[in-house]
Order: sequence, then structure tokens, then C-alpha cells
Amino acid sequence: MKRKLLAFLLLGLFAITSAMAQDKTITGRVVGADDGLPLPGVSVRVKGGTIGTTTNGDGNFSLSVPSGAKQIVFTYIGYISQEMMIGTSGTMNIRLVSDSQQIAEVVVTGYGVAQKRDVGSASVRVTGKQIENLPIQSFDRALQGRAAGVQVTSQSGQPGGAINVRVRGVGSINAGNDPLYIVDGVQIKTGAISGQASTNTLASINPNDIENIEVLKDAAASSIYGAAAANGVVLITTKKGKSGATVVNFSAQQGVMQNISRYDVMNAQQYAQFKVPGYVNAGVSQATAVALFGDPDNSTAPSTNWFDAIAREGKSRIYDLSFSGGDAKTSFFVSGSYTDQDAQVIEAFYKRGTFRGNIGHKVNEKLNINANISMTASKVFGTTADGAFVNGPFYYPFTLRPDVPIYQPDGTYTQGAALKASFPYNIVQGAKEEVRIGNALQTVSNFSATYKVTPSLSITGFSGIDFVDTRDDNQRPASIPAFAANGGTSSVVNTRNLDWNSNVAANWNKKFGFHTVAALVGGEYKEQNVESASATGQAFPNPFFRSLQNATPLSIAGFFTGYKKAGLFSKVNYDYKDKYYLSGTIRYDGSSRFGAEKRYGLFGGISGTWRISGEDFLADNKVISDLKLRASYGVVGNDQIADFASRALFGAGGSYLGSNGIRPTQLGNANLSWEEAATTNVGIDYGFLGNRITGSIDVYRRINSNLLLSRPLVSDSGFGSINENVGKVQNEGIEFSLNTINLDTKSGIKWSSDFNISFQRNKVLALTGGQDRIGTSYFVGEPIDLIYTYGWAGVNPADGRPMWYDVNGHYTYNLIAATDQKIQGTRYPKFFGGLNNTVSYKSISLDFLFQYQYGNKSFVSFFQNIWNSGYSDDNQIVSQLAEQWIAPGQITAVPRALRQTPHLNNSGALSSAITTGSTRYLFDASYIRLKNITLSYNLPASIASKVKLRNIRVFATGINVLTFTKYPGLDPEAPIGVNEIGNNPQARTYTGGLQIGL
Amino acid sequence: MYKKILAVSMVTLVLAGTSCKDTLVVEPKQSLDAAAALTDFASVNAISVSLYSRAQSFNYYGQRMLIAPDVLADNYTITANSGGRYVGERINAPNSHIDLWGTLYPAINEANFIIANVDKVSAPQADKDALKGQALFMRAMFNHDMVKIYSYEPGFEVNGFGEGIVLRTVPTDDVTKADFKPRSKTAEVYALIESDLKQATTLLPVTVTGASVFRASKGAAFALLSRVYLFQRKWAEAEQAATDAITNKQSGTSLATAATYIASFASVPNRESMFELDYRTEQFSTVDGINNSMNSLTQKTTGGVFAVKATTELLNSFETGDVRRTAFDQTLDGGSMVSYSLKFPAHKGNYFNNIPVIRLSEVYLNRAEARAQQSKSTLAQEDLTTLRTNRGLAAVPSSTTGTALLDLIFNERRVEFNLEGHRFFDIKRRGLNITKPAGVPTLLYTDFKVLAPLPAAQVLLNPLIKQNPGY
Repeated sequence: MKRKLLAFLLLGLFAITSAMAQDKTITGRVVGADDGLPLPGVSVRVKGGTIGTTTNGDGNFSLSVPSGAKQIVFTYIGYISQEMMIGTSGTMNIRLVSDSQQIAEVVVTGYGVAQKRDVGSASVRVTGKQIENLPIQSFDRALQGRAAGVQVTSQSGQPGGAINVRVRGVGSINAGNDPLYIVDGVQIKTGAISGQASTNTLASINPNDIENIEVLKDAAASSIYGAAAANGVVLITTKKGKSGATVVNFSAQQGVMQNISRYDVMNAQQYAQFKVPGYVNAGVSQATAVALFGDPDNSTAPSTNWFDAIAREGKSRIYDLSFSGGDAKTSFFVSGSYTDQDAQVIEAFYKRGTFRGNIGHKVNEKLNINANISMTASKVFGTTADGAFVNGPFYYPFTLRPDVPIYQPDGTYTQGAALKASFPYNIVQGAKEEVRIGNALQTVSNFSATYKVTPSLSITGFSGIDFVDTRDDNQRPASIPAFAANGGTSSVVNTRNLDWNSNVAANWNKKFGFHTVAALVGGEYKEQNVESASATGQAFPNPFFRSLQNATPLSIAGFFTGYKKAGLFSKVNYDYKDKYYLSGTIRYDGSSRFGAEKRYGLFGGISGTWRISGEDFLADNKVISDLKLRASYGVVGNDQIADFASRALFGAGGSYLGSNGIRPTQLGNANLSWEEAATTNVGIDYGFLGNRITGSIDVYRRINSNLLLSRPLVSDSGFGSINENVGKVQNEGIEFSLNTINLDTKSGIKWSSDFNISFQRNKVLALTGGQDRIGTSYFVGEPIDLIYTYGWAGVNPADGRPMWYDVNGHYTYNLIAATDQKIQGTRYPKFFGGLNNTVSYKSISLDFLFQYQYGNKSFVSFFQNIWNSGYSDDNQIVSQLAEQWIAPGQITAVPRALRQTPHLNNSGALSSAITTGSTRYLFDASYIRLKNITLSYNLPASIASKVKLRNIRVFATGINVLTFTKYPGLDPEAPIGVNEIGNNPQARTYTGGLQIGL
Repeated sequence: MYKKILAVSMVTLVLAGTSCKDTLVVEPKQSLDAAAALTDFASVNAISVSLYSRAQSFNYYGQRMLIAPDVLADNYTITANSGGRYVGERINAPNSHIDLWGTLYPAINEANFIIANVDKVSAPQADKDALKGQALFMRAMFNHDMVKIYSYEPGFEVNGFGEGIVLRTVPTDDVTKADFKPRSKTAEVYALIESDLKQATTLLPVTVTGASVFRASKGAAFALLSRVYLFQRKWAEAEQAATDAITNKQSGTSLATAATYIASFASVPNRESMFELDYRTEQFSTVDGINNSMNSLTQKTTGGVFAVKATTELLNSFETGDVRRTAFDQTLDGGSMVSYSLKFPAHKGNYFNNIPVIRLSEVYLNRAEARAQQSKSTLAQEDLTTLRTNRGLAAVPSSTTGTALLDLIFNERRVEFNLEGHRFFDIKRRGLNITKPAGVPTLLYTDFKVLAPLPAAQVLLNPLIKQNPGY
């Protein structure tokens, strides 16, 4: 400290003494052009000379210049340098424009120091700016449509619900396919955290705290993460403070969530009009049918729309406050946020509070310490998990009969036989009286210290924690008849997930003339423990008692799983003249999940890059401003296998005479190990016309081998199968990204576009023991995900009966399971991507993102219930009434209404049921969706400054605003590999808000 | 300077933890590593729970092993509402047989784990003997039940087809032990069953402490041994084993009298049980009970299935005055009155009851048959009379000898053990054509459908095992 003071003093003295020899002093302030914030530490120097200074914490500077000086140069890392002519005025106020290209050069690897971005590898970045103030709960949603090669699909429209992220396709059949997420260096566990609602671990990170998200796609980029890298790596970096004045940001937004779509099902009269003939056609008398379903001619029959009763427009509120700043030694970013979102279904909600403190401190010239600490508490009130459940809000209301009222005349719920349902459950009562709560407390925090041994060598020690503590409450009161027999049931599940990450790494950088060498060596250790305890009680004295202390204990249960892994890694980057780059990575990894004989493996990658635009022959090229050719190859692992998959285990083995038994439950395989992904990537990065047009093209092939598949064993051994590393899958694709500045006029109109498209192809290359298929699930030469079913041939115009295709392509009424089914499509898209446009005029800005998928099929198994020509007594989609076959010769897609009775063919034999799974229920789910649209207005600085504010921004945002698709299901954005039935579709969200900076 | 480096390095090393080989091991908690599961007596003993639990399976003594042999032959047939159950068995359709391959080999493997490890753990010798004896008994029962389904009895091979079943005597504790094995010859299979049972009789106590007849005992082992000898037509040995079984039966086991016969099926345990499977409500739900229990399938009850009814031929096999004939009730089925057995009352709740696997009356009938086959007519008549007088029937006249005596014994078995899993095998083990109720053609002994097919997937997978002829 004293030394610093001394230095300042000396510097000041020098300034004073030199000032005496000068004749002009220039003063001024440097701010960022984008946010108007002061930039401290900007280099201010006279062009061609040695005289210079830096801006202080408020962005102010004062520089004495010699009389002959003409220009002053302002340079600052991450910003485009600016040169200013020295005029007569003694002040210069500068707005520096940030250089996105330059910022993109730096990436945090998770091993201490920010490294120069891997120029030779395929990766894609989304900045915090792009997703700022979007009313989303987890950042993974923000990747959708913005990152080439990254397919994001929603698993549930529950706020805070689960997301599927697939980087360059699906490479595994039985192991996990989720990428590795690393938040500020902490590898975190992904997945659901509650059993009571669809949830997503990643919602613990406030999206507004994120500086940027980097997705590492090829093996050369991700190989530093060894056995965990096969599904790609997503690096999340949160915001850090900058030295200078403290910046305060506050934003508040409020809005609504609406249903994006719904099934239009029949009302009571339509139901009667449809069901009565269906029963008559099945041989029931008209009178009986009318007694069952009412008079088809009664247009005043009371009708219930069950979905209306369960759906609502939910409110959404998000508040966010952050402080950031620092001085020369310490920087901080402190934030808090609160989210309160009602779901699009009654009672369901999501509430979350987050806190974050990111602190960096320079202890001395050698030692830096850093801590990123976050805490998130969330509470989610779920409907049921997605699917065909009687308490599923997107399933059961559509099937309930419209001629049944929700409430009886006395105001009580319609229950039991009066519901006329196969399972008598009044979903409105269920939604209001059943409690499904998931509480979570989460932190992803870390501490690190970096010691600069020499200017070119630094050592970093890092320790991080990923902690999730959850409590699930489920209460099913006896007032709901389905739970009355047990006197009501309550259960509580407490789960704790504790992940420890720690590593130590040494970074070495040295420049020898034209040669630059950077090397990283380190070691890492990680441990995960998940433990839960649960208790269930029944027989409450009355429905108002819900706590377990009022219950008779029914059962207790416990669960534990965990793993440990460790690795040693090294990476060397070399470049010559900033034109030729070579990079090599090697990692030796071990995990407790792997069998004793194959616990450790070696992984690695290499890449080479030629920056063609650095060559002399392109030096003065007016068109080509940047051109890079890259090639990489690497082999990494997928360690997402079950924690004890390799072990010989004894587990629960029945009970007898009041004792519980054990039995061998799993045969050990000491050779069971990681799945392996070998990726070859060739790419071009380009920039034209002064980087007004930039982008990349990448071509890749990834072959995942040693896939975990079960090999059948002779069952006389006592075991049916064993998991072995045998399968092989190939993913190949091309990704294009194109970012253009279409307009940038003097008048202030600016229009820029970011477009990306990814073509993918997935193919199984090998299965167990040379088989060419496994049942009807997997086929060599076909994608992993496929839909194997019968071909629908339509309705026979002569008699209105459903027809299918048999194995020879002929019409048939009688399907033969063994021969007539075939592969009818895949849920993988042929291509997908996004197009983002930003149009701004002065302070007004419009940002809109279209996101699309093409060529993916979706099987709507829900239509087997509600689009089945009245085969079941479920309510039906209304269009069937008008489109049903009535008269011979009529050409329609809807067969003659017929209550569940085998259709008879001409010879009197039985024929297959309309509900048989076939391509009748298979649809093209290609879509284009206006994913986000944001209109914002920055109030002029003059107004803002009047109320002592740095800036005021008002904005309005919409999510899932428009969808263009032919898909008849609820949401074409269905998760991969799942049939649509009862899935909670995404919501349409509109919010308006205010952002204030001071 | 160097001190600082050292300090930083040490801190970071502590942060980073260590990464030597031993640290990368995590022990599961709700499962046990195989090695750990076999180191103490309590754990090895817990495996025996699984053996009995598997024996209760609906594919075995929980249902199929009791009903199918009567429908495959001529004691029972399906009702109008069987819901597809036993439809193929009624007409002996190909592939409609009993298939125990997938049910019993895991159980045999578990028995092998006990047999191979029980001597290595520390416990009182008597406890270890009792446990090992049970494992040997259960393995013998499993092997015998399979060999009588999949194979011809020695001496009654059709076209000399003498393939037995795959014999497994070593626990599969790693994948190399899950090797391809051929079927052993029936003689070898019977040799193993015999030796297992003989060893079990020496190891087992008269009563396993606290287990009554619900776990295997010395008497049960002798009883099963006598049954196994009958299948091999080793008459003298069968007679001796039956005598030993009677000598070593548990004190609570005795023949039911005419007055207590029906009630004994509702008592716990059955008065005659040498070995009985105990069922409890916490093991099986009402849904299990409705869909699969003996009570639901064989009786007309509220909510039950009622899938099989007695054939006229069975009902006609009862002599006048036979108390067992009164163990039937009548109901309307498909427009006519039919009879159903009352043997399986739901006295254990959720439509469940205990299942007697070996009853004392079988031991008497085994001995009678063995004695008759050795022309010890008087002794055979004595045994038969003992049973008949307890069923409300007259003594066997001393004039009934030879074939007539044997026929009487077999008819006695038919009526005594209906719905207890004997009928089909009692015909088959004598190499006779399988008699069927009126309207269904007799199944010739030489017809391939007398034997059950091995699971097709196993035959495809394992080139060393031969499928049964005709499949």
C-alpha cells in the first residue's frame, strides 16, 4: 500500500514536472458507447509519442501534450481504439465502442485463468446482453435459436421447468446426453430437483447475472474435460465488477402467461350428436344411447369445458437489482432478484429469490483471489408431471365428458360415478385440494486464488461447490374420493445433493519472437453425493390435517448415490506470427463409475488453424477482413452412466414370513466404462467488409463408440443381461452462422441480423453382438430415435371403416404385429436454427428472434384417446363431428363413429381398432416460432440525468408470440424421444418493464 | 518468494484433494456389493427369503404350477370368463404349457450363492446346516419341477430324446460364469436332485426354528425325495423315503380326518402340510389378488375372476360318500351350473391363502404306490385305507391288488390333489396318453406337446442347448 502511494506520488511529481515543459492540457471523460458508463484505466496517449496517462475510476483523464502533438489515441481492451484530432478545445469526451470480436477472444476454461479462445475449435457464444431481462427462468432456454448446432427443446411449460439441450445431436442410447455445464468453473449436476413439478437445476442461476455462455462443440475444444466432455460443454461466466464508479441497475417487469394452444373438444350437444350414432352403429338401441349421452337435438344442454376450468392467464413479476464496481484492487458484483410466476394452470406457480456476490481482490502484485457466491431459494407448486395422468392438466380435462358439471347443484364437487369417467377424479377439485410443492435451496459457489510466480507463470487453486437441498411435499386429502379410502396421504421427501469440485492448475505463457507458447497443466478432483429420506403417512383425522404428525406412518424410504472422479490434464497452444496455430490437449481421467479393470482412460484432442487473412496477400484486401481455416480431431468420453453400473450388487429380494430378503440384482462388469466420442471438425471463420459480415461454417462427424447396451445372457445363469460397451452411433452435420449489419446509417438507423442453421444426421452403426436391430427400438443404419408403427391408409369411402397398409403395401383391416409395422420417421429434425434481427433507431430498439425446426415428426398418442371416432367414451376433438364418415362414397380422414367394438370386415371377421398406433397419429412437427420479441426505448440522457439517473429504459417483451406450424398437437417443440400425451406446452408470455441505471 | 510458492501450492493441493487410486471408490448404500453381501450369516440367510419369495410367484406355486397341470390334463377346464387364461392349455396348443425357465434359474442361482458361501461365514453349525439344507431342498424342488416339464422321465423317452435341463451348481458371480451350457441328460439331473435331497435330509432339522412348516424341513426333504423316486420308478427307495418322511414329520402335521378335511384348507398351516408357502397381505395387493390369486381364479367370488371350473370327469371320479366331493360349490357359468373347488379360501386377505406344496397325504399315496409296484399289496392297501378312512371312504378290500390297486391309487391321487399340480405329471410319468375331458382329443404321449418348449430366445442365444422336438 505504502509503495503504491509512493508510486502515485512519484507519478504525480513527474506529471507536474513535465507539465512545466508543455503548453497544453487536455481533460476529458471516456465512457462506453453502449451503456454510457465511465471506463477506468483507458490508455490515453499522444500518437507517435511516449506521453500518456490512463483514465481514473470515473473515466476522467487529464493529459499535458506537447505543442507539436496532433492526435490522441484512446485504447482499451475490449473496445475499438479511437484517434482524436487535438483541436483548440482543451476537452475531449470520448465514447468508445466495444469490439465484440476482441471480447470473444477470451474464454474462461474453468481452470483458473482466462485463456485466449481456442481459435482452432468449434464453439459458439451467447452473451448476457442478448438474454438480458428476458422473462425466462433458466439460461438454457436462451440458447434456443441462438447457437448453431445446439438444439434446445422444452420438456415442460411449467415455469422453471425442464429443458433438453443437445449439442450436435444425440450420441448415446443408454447413458446421458446432457452437456457438461460449468458455472464459473464449477461442474454442476443437471436434471430435475423436485418430484412434484417439472424443475430444472439450472434455474438456480439468475439469467441476468450471466456475462456470457460459451458452448464447446468439438472434441478439440472440450477435451480438457476428458471423460465428461462427449456431449459438449456449456461454460457459464457470471458478471464481474469493473473498477470505477459503482453501477447500479434495477429492473422490474410484469406480465402475463397464457396458454399457447388447446384442443378444441366437443360441448355437451356435440358430444351427444357424436356418441349416440357411435353407439347405435355398435348395435346399441337409439333410446339406450340417448339415455347415456343425452339428446343430440338439445341445443340448450348444459355443457362443461373442463380445460377452461383448469387453465388461466397467469401473472408474472420479475425484479432484479445489481451493484457492480470496484477500485484498483477490488471488484465486486452483487445482485438480488425475485421472480414470481403463476403458471398457465390454476394453482401452479414458481417463485424464486436469488442472491449473488462476485468478488475479486488483488492482494498484491502476485496474488489474486476470487469468490463467486450465490444462493437461490425456489418454491414451485406443480401440477403433475407431464403425461397421461388423471391429475394431468393437459390430459384429463380434454377427456372428461362435457355433459358432466364440475359442481353439483349444492356446490360440492361432482365425484364418483356421477363423473361418468373411467377413473372418477374431478380434476378441478384435485388441482385445488391436492398440494404438490417443491422447495429448493441451491448454491453454486467457488473460491479461487491465483499466484503469479513469474510474469509468465501463474498457479491457480480452485474449489467449488454445487449444493441442492430440496424438500418435496405431497398432500392428498381425504376430501378427494380417490384418496378417501386411506384417510388421505401425505408424503415428504428430503434430498440433498452435494458436489465438490476442486482443481489446481499452472498456466505458462511466453512469447519468443514470432512464437507464442501457452501451456496449462493441472489436476482435478470431484465428488458427488446424493442422499434422500422420505416418509409417508395416511389416515388423517380430517382433510384439514396435512402434517405427518397427524398421520399414521405408512412407509419410510431412503436413497443414496454418488461418485468420485479425478483427472490430470495438460494443454499446449502454439502460434506463429498470429497466423498458424497448433493446439494439443491431453487428459487422464478416472471415475468410480467405471469398472475396476477400466477405471482410468486417456483422452485428448488436437487442432490446427491457419489465419489466412493474416497473410500478406490478403493484408490490403478490401473485402476480406477476417478468414480462418480450422481443423480439429479429438477423443473424449461420456461418463454419464449409472453410479454403480459396473458393480456386482445385491439388492432387495422379496419378502417372506415377515422378513425382507436380498438377492443378486446386478452382475458386475469390471470392464464397464465410459462411452467414447471421436469428433472430426473442419471449419471456416469469416469476416467481410470490415467485419460487417461475419460468421462460421463447420462440418463435423462424431462417432460415439463403446455405447452401453445390454447384452442378453443365457437366463439359466440367473441373469437376463449385462451392460457392456458395444454400440456405435454416428452424428454428422453442417452448421452455418451468418451475422450481418444490414444497415448502419448516419441518421442512426441500424439493422443487424444473426442467422444460423444446422443440418444433422444421426445413424446407428453397430449394436450388440453384430445384431442389425434391437427389437423395434434400434436399427443399424437408422437414427437412434425412430417411430416404428403401422402405416395408416385412411378411411374406406364405401363403408367408413379404417384401413391400414400391410407388409406388401396393400390395404388391410387386420394388422399383423410381427410384419406390418415399419419405421415411419424420426423425431430428429433435418435442420434447425434461428434468425435474430435487431433494428434500432437512435434510442428505440426492436429485437426479434425466430426459431425453427424442420423435418421432425411427432407421435401424438393423445389422439388415440380424443381423436378415435368415439371408440372410447373420452371427449373428442370437435372436428370429428363434421368430418366423420356418414355416407358411402364420402372421402374423409375420420372413420364412421363407432363405440369400442371390433370393426367387422366384409367376411365378418374382426378387424383392428382405430386406436391402434399408426401413422394416423404421426405428424410433421416442423415449425417456425417467433420466440422472443423485445421493443425497448432508452430515454434520452438529458431526461435521465435530470432525475439523477444514468439511464432509463422501458421495454416490452413477448415470448413464444407466434408459431407457424401444421402440427395439430399442442406444441411442436416436444422433447426428443417422447410421444405427445398430456405434455405441458410452453406458455406465451408478455411482459413490460422498466430498467433504471445509476 | 519460495515460501509463498510453497504456501500457495499447499493450499491448492488441499483444495484439490488427492487423486490416488483408492479414492475413486464409492460404496452403494441401498444395495450391497456382492462381496460384502456374502460375509455374514444374516446376509446369506436373507438370500433364502428370496428363494421362498420366488416360489410364491404366480408363474409357479402362486398359481400356474397348481392350475396348469389340471387343465393340461382332465381335471379342470376354463369358464366362460377366463379372460384368455388357460385357453391354450385346455386344448394343449403348442407353446401353451408351463414355462419356469425364467422364473426358477434366478432362484437356483440364489440357492447356489447360499450353498457356496454358507460354510464360509461364522454362525452356529446348526444354523448353517439348516440354511444350507433349505437351499439344497429348494434347488432340488426347482430342478425337479423344471425337468418334469421340459423332459421325459428316464425310461420313457420318445425317440430316445433324453435331454434334461441345464444344471447350474456354481453361483454366477461374474459374467464369465454366465457361459453357454448344454442341457444335461435327465439321468444326470435326477442324480443331482437326489444327492441334493439326501444331503438336505441330513442337514435339515425336523423344524427350522420358528418356521413351522413354512420353511423346508427334514420331513419335507424326505417327502420330496419319495416323489422324485416315483418319477424314476425307484420303488424301494421311494417307499423308504416316504417312511422316513412320516417318521420325521413335524409334530403338528397329521392326516386330516373326514370331519376336518375342508377346514384344514382354511387353517394356518394346513393340518397336513409337510411344506407350505406362507402368504401375507403386505406382500401382495388386492389387485394382485384379483388378477392372479388361486382364490380369485378358482372360485366364484365378488370381484374375483373365476377362470377355471371342475370337469365332469373329475367330479365323476369321486366315490359316493367321499368328503372331498363336498369341497365344491356350484354357480352359473355360460348358462349352465358348474362346480368349483373350495380348496383356496381367501383366509390370508386380499384374495390370498397359504399354498400347501407337499401334504402328508401325498407321502401315504407315494408309499402306497411304491409298495404296490413292489407287489407289497397288503402294505399298499394299508396306506390307502389309512387315507380313505380319513376321507369318509371304505377300506380297500384285500382282493384289490395289482393293476386294480394301482388304478385305485391313481384315482385317489386325482381326487386328492386336484388343483395341487399333480394330475398332468402323474399321467406323464407313467408314459401314458394324456386323458382330456369330453370334446377335447386325447393328447398322445408321443405328441411333442407333452413337453414344454424351451424359451425360444434362449435356444437362439445358446447354440449348445437343444430345443425340444417339434418346436
